[in-house]
Amino acid sequence: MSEAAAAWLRPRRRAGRTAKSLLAFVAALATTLLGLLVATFILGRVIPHDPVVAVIGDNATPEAYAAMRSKLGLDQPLLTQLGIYLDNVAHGDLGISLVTSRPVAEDLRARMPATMELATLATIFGALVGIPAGVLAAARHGRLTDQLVRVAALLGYSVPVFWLGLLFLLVFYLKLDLLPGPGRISVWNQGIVPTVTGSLLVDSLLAGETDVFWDAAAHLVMPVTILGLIAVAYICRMTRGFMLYQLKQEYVLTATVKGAGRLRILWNHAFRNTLVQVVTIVALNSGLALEGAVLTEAVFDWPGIGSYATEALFRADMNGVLGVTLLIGVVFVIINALTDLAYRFLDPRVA
Amino acid sequence: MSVMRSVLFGALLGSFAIVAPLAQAGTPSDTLVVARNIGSIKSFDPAAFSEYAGAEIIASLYDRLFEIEPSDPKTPAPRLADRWEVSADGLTYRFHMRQGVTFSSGNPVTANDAVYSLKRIAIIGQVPGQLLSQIGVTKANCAEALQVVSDQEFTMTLPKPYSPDLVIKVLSAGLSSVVDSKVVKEHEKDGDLGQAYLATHSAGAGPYVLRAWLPSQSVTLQRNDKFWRPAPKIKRIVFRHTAEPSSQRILLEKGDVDMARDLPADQVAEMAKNPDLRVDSFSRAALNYLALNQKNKELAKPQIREAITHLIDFDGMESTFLKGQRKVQQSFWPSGLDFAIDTRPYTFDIEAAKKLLAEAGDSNGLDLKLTVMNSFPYPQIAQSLQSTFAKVNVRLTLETSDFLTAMNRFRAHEFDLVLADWGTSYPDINVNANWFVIGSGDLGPDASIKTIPWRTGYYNAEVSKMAADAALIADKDKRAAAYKTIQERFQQEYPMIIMFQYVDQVVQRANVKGFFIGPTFDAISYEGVTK
Repeated sequence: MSEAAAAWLRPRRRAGRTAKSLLAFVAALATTLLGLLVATFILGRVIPHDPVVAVIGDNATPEAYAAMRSKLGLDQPLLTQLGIYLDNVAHGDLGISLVTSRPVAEDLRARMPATMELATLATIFGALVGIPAGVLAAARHGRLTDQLVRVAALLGYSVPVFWLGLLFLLVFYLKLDLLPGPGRISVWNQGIVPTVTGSLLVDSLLAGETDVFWDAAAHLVMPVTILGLIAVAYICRMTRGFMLYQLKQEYVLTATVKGAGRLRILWNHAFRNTLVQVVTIVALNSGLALEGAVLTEAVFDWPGIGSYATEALFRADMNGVLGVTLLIGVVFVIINALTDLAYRFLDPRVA
Repeated sequence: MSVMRSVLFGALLGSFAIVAPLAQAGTPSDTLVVARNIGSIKSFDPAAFSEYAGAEIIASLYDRLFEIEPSDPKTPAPRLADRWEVSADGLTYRFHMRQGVTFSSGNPVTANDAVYSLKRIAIIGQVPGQLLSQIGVTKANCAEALQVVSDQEFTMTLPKPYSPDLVIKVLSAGLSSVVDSKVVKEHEKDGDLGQAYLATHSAGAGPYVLRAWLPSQSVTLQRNDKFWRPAPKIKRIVFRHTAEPSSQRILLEKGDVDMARDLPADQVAEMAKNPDLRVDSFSRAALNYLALNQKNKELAKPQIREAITHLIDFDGMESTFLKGQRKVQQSFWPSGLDFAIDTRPYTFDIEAAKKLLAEAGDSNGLDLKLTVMNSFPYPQIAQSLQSTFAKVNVRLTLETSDFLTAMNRFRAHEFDLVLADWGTSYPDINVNANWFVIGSGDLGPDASIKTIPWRTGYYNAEVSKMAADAALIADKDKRAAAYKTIQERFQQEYPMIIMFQYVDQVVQRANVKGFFIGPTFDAISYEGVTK
C-alpha cells in the first residue's frame, strides 16, 4: 500500500514541482517587466524632453501645440497616463512610435531579427574564441601566454566600440578593400529576398539567393567581430578565473598523481567542472551583446533595435524607448530561464 | 596555443578571405547614392512636414505652383501655375494652371488638384498649414477662400490685401505641392485625407516617384516617366541611411556613395584636399542667434544687452571652427534675398563692453547661464563666448543638453542666454518677421502667439505693428524701406543677437554635377544632377 501510494505520488509531486517552477517563472517575468516599465515610464516623464515639440516642431502655434499634447495624452495626470499605457501593453499594444509613426510592436518585429543575428553570431564568436583562450591562459598561469591573453582581454574590454568600429571601417573597407562598408546589405540587394525568419543569412538561403547570402555575410563580418571581441574579452577573463580555481582543487592533484594526461585533466576534469559557470557567463553575455549592439549599430548603420533605441531616445519617443526596454527585459528573463534549464543537464545536483 | 591560433585565424582571416572578392566599389552610372541621416523621416506627405531630410525628398516627388530655381534664388518662377492675375482690391488671385502636365499616375494636373492640395494643407494644419495661414488661408476659411473656376483655373481670396510678392513667395514653399487628388481620394481612410497613404507613397508631378522606403535603411526614388520637363539624367536616387558623419566620409572616399549631406566643417576641410571629391557651398536662409531673456533683471537693461554685442568674436569664430559653414550675419533676415540689409553694426570690442557694464552698474561683472545644444557648432560657439565674456567678468555657466531639452528650457523661460537656430520656410522676410518681431503683447502663459518675443520677454508694440503692416504693402520699394527700418530697430534694441548665417557644404564625387540647394529649407533639387 505504502509503496503503491508512493508510486502514485511520485509523478504528481514532480508535476507539481514543474507547475510550481513554471508559476515562479511567470511571476518573476511579470514582476521584472512591470518594474522595468514603471521605472522607465517615470524616468521618461521626468526628463525635460518635450515629445510635442519632437512631433510638430519648435515653431508650432499654441493651438497646434495644445491639440497635439492632448492627442498624445500628455494632458492627463501622470498616473492615469501610466495606467493607460500598462493597460495597452497588457493587450499587446505598445503604442505608436513618434519617430516612425508606426506601431512600436511592428517596428520592433521588423528590427529585432537584425540585432538577433548580430548578437547571436557575436556571442558564438565570443564563446569559440574566449573559452579556449581562457582555459589556455589558466593552464599557463603566470607565463607569457597568460600575460598576453590577459592584456588582449583587457584591451578588448576597454577599447571603445565606436572607435574600434571606425578603425575597422577605415582599414578593412576603405584602405584594404576586403570588406563592404556600413549597412546590413548592399543597396542593390535590398528587398530581394522575402522575409521569412528575418535573418538575412537564413532567408537568402531559403530563397536560394546565394549572392545575397554572401553579401549579407560579408556585411556581418566587421560588426560581429567588434561585438564579438567584447564578448571574447569578458568570457576569456571569467573562464580563466573559474579554471584557476578548479586547477587548485585537490582532485586535479589526485588526477595528476594518478598519471592522467595534461589535456585530459584540463578539459575532462577541470573544465567540465566550470561548465555551469561558463554557460552562465556566455548566456549573460548574449544579453549584454544586445546592449553593446547600440553603439555597434550606430557605427555600422545596422537597422536593429539598438539604433532604434538611440533614435527614439533622441527624439523623445517614449513609446519607442519603453518598447525596446520591455523587449530587452523579456530577452534577459528568457535567457536566464534557459540558463537554469541548461544547469539541470550540466549539473545533475541542480535537477 | 594551437587551439587558440587555429580558432582565431580560422574565424577572422578565413572569413575575410572568403568574402573579399564580394566587396565592390563604385555606384552604377545611372544611380545617385546619397549618404544622409534619414533616421528621423516619418512621412513623405507634403502636408505633414516635420523634419529636413524628409522635406528634401518630398521636394523631388511633387512639383509646386511656384518654385525657386537655380538661375534666380530670389524670385520664384511659375511651375505648375502658368500665370496669375490679382484683383484691383488685392484680395483675389486667379491662377491659370499649366496645360498638358500629368501626374506620375497619368492623370492630368488640374485646378481641382491644386485646390484640393491647398485645402488639405490648411485642414491638416501642421507646419505647412501654419505657413499658409500667414497669408490668411486657414482651416476655418479655406472652403470659401479657394474656389475651382474650371479645370484650368482657380481663385484664392485672402482676408487682407497682402503684398502680391509675399503671396507668390509663400506659394513657392512645399505647401503648394500639388497632389493627385484622384489617387489620394481613392486611398482615403476614415476621412484622413489620405495621410496614411501619402506617408509611404508619392502621388505628384515631380521629377521622381517614391519607389521604396525601408525606415532607417534607405529611401529609393525612381525617375518619373510621365515628367513634363526634360527627363532627369539620373534614373534612380538612393538615400542611404548613414547616421555617423565619419561613416559618411568613409563611404564617400571609397566611392560607394556619390554625395554626403551631413558632414561637419572639420571633416569637410580634410576632404577638400582629396582630388576625387568636390565641395559645393550653398548659402542658406538659416540663422544662429543668441537669445537674451529679459525676464532676467540684468538682461532687461539695454546697456547689458549692448555690451554683449561687443563680447562676441564674430570673425574669430567664422574663420576657425565655423570655417566654410557659417558667415557673419547680424540681421534677422539673411543676405542673398530681397530686403536683406547686410549691415554689421556689432563689433567685437572689449573696452566698449566694459564701459557699458559700468554704466549699467555692473562693473564687477555678473553670472549668467547659457543653454547650449550638444551638437556642432553650439558647444564650440559656447566656449568662445565663455572666454570672451570672461574678459569683462561676465561669468557664463554652460548648461549643455540635447536639442529637445534645450528647446524646452527656451519655451519655458528657464534660461538667461540660449544659442538657437532658425530655418526659413519661404523666401519672404515676412516669415522671419513673424518669428522674431511680431508678438501679441501678452507675455503670460496663455498668450495666443508664443514666438520669440514671448519667449524672451521682448515686445515692442510699435515695431511689431510696423512688421505686421509691412506684409500688406504692395509696392516693393516702399516695402523694402519699411523692412529696412524694422531690421535696424531690431538691431538697436538687442532683444537677441543674430550671429551667423548657414552655408551648406555638400561633398560629392568629382564627377557629380548639377545638384542645387536654394535658400529655404525645402528648396532642394536633384533634377539637374548628372554624373
